[in-house]
Amino acid sequence: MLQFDQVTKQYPGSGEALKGVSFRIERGEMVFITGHSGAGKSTLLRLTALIERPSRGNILLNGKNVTRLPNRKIPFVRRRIGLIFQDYRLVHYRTVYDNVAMPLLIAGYGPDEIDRRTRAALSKVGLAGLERRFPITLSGGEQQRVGIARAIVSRPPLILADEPTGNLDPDLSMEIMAMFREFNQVGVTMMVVSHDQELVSRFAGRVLHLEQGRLVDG
Amino acid sequence: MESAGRKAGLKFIRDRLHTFLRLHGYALFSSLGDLWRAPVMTFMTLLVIAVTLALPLTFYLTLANLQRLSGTLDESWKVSLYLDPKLNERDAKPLVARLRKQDAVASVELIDKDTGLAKFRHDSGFGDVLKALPENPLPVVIEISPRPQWESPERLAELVTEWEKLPQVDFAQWNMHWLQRLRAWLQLAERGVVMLGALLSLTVLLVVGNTIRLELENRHEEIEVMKLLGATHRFIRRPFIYSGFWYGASGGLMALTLVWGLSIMMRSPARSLADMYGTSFTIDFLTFTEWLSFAGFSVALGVMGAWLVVTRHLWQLRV
Repeated sequence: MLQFDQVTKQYPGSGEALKGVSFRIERGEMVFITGHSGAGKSTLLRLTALIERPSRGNILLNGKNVTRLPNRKIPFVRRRIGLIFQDYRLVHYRTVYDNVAMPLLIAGYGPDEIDRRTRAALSKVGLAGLERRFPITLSGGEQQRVGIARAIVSRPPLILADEPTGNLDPDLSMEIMAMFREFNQVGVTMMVVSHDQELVSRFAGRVLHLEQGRLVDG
Repeated sequence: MESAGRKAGLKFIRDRLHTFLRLHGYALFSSLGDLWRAPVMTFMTLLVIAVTLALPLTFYLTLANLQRLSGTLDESWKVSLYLDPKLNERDAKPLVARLRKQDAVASVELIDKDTGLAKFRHDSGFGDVLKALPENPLPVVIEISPRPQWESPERLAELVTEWEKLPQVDFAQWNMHWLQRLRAWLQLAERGVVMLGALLSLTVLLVVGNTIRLELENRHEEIEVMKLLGATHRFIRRPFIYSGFWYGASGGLMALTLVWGLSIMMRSPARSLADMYGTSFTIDFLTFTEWLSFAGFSVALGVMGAWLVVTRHLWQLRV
């Protein structure tokens, strides 16, 4: 599914955020990426989503080397990845429905298909009936669930979540994590970045622990 | 087998076409919705575009009408020799005879003082004023039509200088002369209109570009999210291009309406003026082709302004 091969990322004017990182994630795996802030967790995720390019090394997605993929081809790779953010990144002047439907609109689905899938995704995260609301009128947990609905609406085989529970209280965090496990059980590969070791330890799954840009056995 | 392949090919093309139309339909209406959501600002922007475009259009129209007017005055290569006011018809007869014999001359007409007065009274509308004068102040006039070979400004100018040297002749008036000058002025004005048009077109480009740029800044977050969700640059750019299209099209139509209204307002005074001169000159609005090219040009400006700004913005994105 995803393979990092001696990947190094150096940001201009600062040190190396990742130093020769190698790992392999199989289809259907549930993987947690842990580490202190600044350990390179977000960088790893940004490299996977092709938001950043590695300075050295190779990244393979679905057996395809995407390290030097031309920019114009990146959108089509991203459509097969569901992204979930710590700060949700919802568009505040669009309704919940429009936010969730956005990936389908981008991919050029027809209106019937968009409607069906959007409603299905919203009911899967338990937000059916809130379609016409604006994100700002929802609680933090609800907003994150809108973000999750948006990530699963186009049924991507891989979901990347960057500190998805960072802004939520422990109960809500557990709820969200349980939801991720459900997705994983139907075959979605999950990659969850979290600094919350305790939360991670409660769930079964491989842990990739980063320390100062290097993978260490967690 | 082959027909199945062709069928699949047709289906592929049809699906692609559907997607294409859907994406464009989405961009078309979402851009219209975005403009509609801020009606006052949209209207102000449109007004700026309309006035900016109306300015060169008005000049163009004025010029086109003047050029047409100068075209209707084309008939006269005639030269009028105004004789010394002390001379009468009888004194002029020998000169007329001599002029008739010249190679350059096709025909000569003698206008005596009374005929001249009657004509002047009719054309100028100063009849009553003239009646108050104790005697006819007009000189005898000899009107000469040159032969076609001499109908060029340079050759005729030579003849006219010669005729002006005749002792009986006070001065010569030559319609082509001032017509020539008028045309030169019009040509100069045309240059001016072209340059002004270019500058104001640039202004429209900048106005549309700036408006779109503000819109891009307002929606910066959404654009980033769209990119993260796998939107192509084309997808993101499309609604903004359509915004540019709407600005160009509506602004252009508003400018046309504005100038059309102006030309209607000018029509009646122009007609009474033309009546006074005994000509049937009327102010023409743009022809259909001109109308269409102007609208097309304005749309092109809008689209180009939007394209430039959005493309630049997308290049600078870091996601």
